Amino acid sequence: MSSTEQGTSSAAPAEPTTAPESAAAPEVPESFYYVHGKDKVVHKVSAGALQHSALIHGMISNLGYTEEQAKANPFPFENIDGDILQMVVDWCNQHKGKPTPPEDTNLPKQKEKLFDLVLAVNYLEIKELLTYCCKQVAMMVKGKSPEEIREIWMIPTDAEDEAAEKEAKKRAGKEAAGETAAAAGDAK
Amino acid sequence: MINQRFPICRLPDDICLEVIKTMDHYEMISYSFVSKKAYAMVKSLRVSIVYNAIEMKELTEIKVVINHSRSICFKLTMRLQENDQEPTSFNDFPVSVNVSSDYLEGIDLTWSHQGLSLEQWIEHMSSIFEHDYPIFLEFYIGETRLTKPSFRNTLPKFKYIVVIICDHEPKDEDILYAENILRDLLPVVERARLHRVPLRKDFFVQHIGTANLKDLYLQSGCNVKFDDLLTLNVESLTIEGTRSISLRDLNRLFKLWIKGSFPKLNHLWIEMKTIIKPDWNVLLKGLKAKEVGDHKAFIIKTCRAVRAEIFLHYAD
Repeated sequence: MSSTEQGTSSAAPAEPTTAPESAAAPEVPESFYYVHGKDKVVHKVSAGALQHSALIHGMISNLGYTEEQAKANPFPFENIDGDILQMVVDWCNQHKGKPTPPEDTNLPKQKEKLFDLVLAVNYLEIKELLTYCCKQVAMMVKGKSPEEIREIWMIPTDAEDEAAEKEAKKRAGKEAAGETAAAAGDAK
Repeated sequence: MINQRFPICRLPDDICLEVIKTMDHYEMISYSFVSKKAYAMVKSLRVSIVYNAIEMKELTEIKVVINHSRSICFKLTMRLQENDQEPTSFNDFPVSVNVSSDYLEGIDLTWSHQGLSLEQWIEHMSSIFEHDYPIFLEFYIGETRLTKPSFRNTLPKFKYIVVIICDHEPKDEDILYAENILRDLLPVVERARLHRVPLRKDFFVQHIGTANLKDLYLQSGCNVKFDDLLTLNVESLTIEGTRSISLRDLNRLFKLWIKGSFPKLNHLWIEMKTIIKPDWNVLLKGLKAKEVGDHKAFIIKTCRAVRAEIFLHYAD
């Protein structure tokens, strides 16, 4: 199990108040790493749990950090919200060294959180969790008609898409014209 | 009522594709109607199904057969013509689309036409998935009141056409309609199955005879004659329930085959209706057929040493 502690920054993380990983200690001592999200809260995670993330696994595989070095250099994930990172860490810990089941019912039911979770999991390259999240997203439209899907997934119609594209082009043209005028003014 | 929403468009395309991959076929079809981008995404996955069948009955039915136990059927109700003179066109929009499936029980699924005409519906539904077998296009003449199909060029992927005349005594307009369909589609299909379609001699020679079909299946009432067969250029021919071809005709056919006619033919099945027990000697006369086994099986050879097996069977 990992524990979480309020930190201050990635450069000077606070000392995490960690609980022992397991009552029955493994013969070879397990190495731990530290990660934090946008809220700077540092999470201690075992290398075994981090193996789920292809991104972090790739980062740590050649580092050979000592416990002290790992503590001093937590991996910063500034683009991930703290509560989302907590969910990811919890999931990695729960599924550490275990075969992943075909269904996972512990994923967030709030759609806004699920959206952020999908992005975070995709960024961290956690394939199994991404599959669960995608299934959860797909389940929202189970048995729905095209109109209902458009509403649930907030998909614009082709006409709205084209109008938005035209608007964006117009805006880009205006901005480009503004920049040219400003550059000409500077030159004078 | 929809109380929670999810902004899928804000997800990267590769994740959207992952989401679509986890969907069932019904949801994939439904999603493909949402926008052009959604359609392109579903299509890009090249999800495979067994086959699609388009049945032109009183309602047009589009069947998506996913596997041997799962299928989805879309029944398209067309607008009824007020004056009852003009037939419904393929360019008309369906009034509603009823969706049913053997695995979607208890869900009321009536869709709108989604802004697509009947022709566009057929095109859309035939192009979403990859098919193990060719798409079946079935016309039930007498039930369907659609104008002549115009999608020969827009839908070249139709390779299997089935034309069924529902009436035992068809009207002239039904026969003409069947001929029009065949005239339009025979040049592009590979397989054709005709049921109770009375084939007029000129039509057969000019259209069916010149078509490069892999498979031709003529079921009862197709009144095909021996002279008609001579024009055929098919790989597989099945004729069921014919009364107008005799054993003597078949003997002539085999003799021509031995001399090198019908080089593409590799399968021939003819089921004749007869009240007299057949004399197989009439059929085998002059073929130099060699009997093999005890089950009326014979081997004949062409002048180019191509071998063929003939199986004879008579049932009371």
